Amino acid sequence: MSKVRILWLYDDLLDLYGDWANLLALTKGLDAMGAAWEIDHKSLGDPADLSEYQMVYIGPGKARNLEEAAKDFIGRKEEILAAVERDTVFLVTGNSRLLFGKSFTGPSGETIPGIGLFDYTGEETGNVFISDVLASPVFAPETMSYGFINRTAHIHGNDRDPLFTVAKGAGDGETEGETHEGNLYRNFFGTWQLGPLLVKNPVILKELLRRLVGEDFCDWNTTAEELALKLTLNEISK
Amino acid sequence: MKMKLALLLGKILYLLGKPFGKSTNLPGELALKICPDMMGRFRFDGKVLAVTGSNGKTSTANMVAHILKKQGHAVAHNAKGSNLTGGVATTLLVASTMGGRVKQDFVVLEVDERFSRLIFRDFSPDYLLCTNLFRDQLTRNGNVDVIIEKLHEAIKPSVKLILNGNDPISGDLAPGNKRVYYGLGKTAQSSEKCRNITHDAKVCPRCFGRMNYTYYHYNHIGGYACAKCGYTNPEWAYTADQVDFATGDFTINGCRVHTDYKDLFNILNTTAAVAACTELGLPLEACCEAISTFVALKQRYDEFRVGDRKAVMILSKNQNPVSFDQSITHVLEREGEKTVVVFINNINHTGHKDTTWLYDIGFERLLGKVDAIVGTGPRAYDLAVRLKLAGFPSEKVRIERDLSQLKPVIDKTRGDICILTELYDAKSILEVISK
Repeated sequence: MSKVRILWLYDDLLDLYGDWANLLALTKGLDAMGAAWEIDHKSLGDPADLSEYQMVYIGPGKARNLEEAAKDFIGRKEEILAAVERDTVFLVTGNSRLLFGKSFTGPSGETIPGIGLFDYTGEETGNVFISDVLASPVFAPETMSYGFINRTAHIHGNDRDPLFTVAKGAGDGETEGETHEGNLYRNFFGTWQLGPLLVKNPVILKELLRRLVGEDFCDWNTTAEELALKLTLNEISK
Repeated sequence: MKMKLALLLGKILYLLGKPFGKSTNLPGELALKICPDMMGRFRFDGKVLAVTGSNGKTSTANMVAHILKKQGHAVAHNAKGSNLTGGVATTLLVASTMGGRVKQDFVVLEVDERFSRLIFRDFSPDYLLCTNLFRDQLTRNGNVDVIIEKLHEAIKPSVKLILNGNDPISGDLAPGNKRVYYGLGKTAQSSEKCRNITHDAKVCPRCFGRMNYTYYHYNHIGGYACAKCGYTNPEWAYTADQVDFATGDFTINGCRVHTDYKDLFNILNTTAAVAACTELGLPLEACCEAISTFVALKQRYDEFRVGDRKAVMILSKNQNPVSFDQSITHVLEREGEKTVVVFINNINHTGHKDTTWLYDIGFERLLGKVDAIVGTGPRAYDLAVRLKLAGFPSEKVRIERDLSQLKPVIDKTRGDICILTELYDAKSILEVISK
């Protein structure tokens, strides 16, 4: 298996939470499969040739930082869209999803363009909204995942290519009981859910890795993760 | 008239509640209901100092009060960390005469950074000491930018700031206000690379340029310069230096100080307390002498024995990774064999099941340094996953979610017992372990 190259985009700007552990879980999975990997860090103004990477990760950040990242990100629009279309794996969590919609209103009230992979728009509200979420990923509807939403921004009009069917907690809308959350388009995974998502949910981690390494995928022991998830699901389902 | 009634009822409630431990917040809350602008009606004979920040504000405020009292001054102070509006109001109404006059030489108010704008809506301190700003309880507080906005609403132009010259974030508070900095240069325990996962100043808080550090004390506290705009550590009026980590001796502006808590975090807080008292008008030498006799609150750091083993309770706050990182530093400083017991709860106050914050804590620093880690509490199995991903072999990790069953698990471990827990959960753990 050739070395898996991962790009962590805006690792310095968009690093608000322990969400980076999605990469930790992912690389531990690669280790278990015996796959070599490398993570590159790129930020504002850094040249990055996306064709060199099999995966791109962007995490959540402070509203001001996201606004700054967006100004840089729009300059990478064509390259990012092309990478999505050639099935590069993307994991985009928290408010960095706003970069991929049509536009969003930032903390200063300014409308900031996104790269338009999706039709949704975003809005920074300044108010913290939190929710435990139980949901089924569209590729494994028989399974239940856990995620945690902690956001001050909202997404409006996200009505295609959902990643999750929500059973309990908040979806992409403002109201409890919203049916859908996130996006899965080709190998682009976008979600508000933290947890960190891939740590809490081995099913999602393994799906993402299958897409990342293809036939080289082989399973490994995630009993500890499954037990932790089961307890969480049981408590919330009560 | 409203003010007099508020003071009277507040004082009565305080006296009635005191034997039951119910007198810290309620009297102030009630008094504010009767007289909503009560805080603005107090008249202070002495200077008022507020102490805020993400971490260390209780200890630092206690140190300030200790120095002032040692020097023979009368001090009004919310000593027990009752730092929300009700607690501050209680402290002031108890200290005040029925005429609303606070006669103490000094008023030292620990203030929650989120509540600062409400607490200081109707009055203002003369000085504000901010120890640091970190990500802390993101589900409740929002991020550091949100906290800064709230502090900016609280800080009136007349307030003189006492700021941490090693913190690029809190050091840049209210740029128009008069200020004085304290700081600590590179020491033998500082590092060239950040030892922690949580680093809130990877980019410049002024211009988003990359921050270069020549040394780190801990997290984003250290020696920094922005590669883009040149923003760098300010000049310090109060400099800690010549730290001897074996004895706990160091100097502040050349004056000798001793501390039993030798980590960099505490040395900076001690320097902050001395800086504040010197700004309040006390001689530096007297401040340094007084602080050298300070003993931390038992609630924060408590040593005791369990059978023939030593044990220590180290306050580690829920969703506050820097607090846990500090606790890990305490553990690593202890000599000899040790076992770490970690209580991981759901999100405080809301009960949400999130454990993302565990990945902001550098548990990796304990690898190979402890006999075992025992995880307990509602989210103990999530801690097990965190430790697995950190690289701990499974035989080093013991999980017992049920606190009541913890004792036999701990009995099978070796060395000093270091308990990392939130204040709320400390008592129940102590009861179980001390059986």
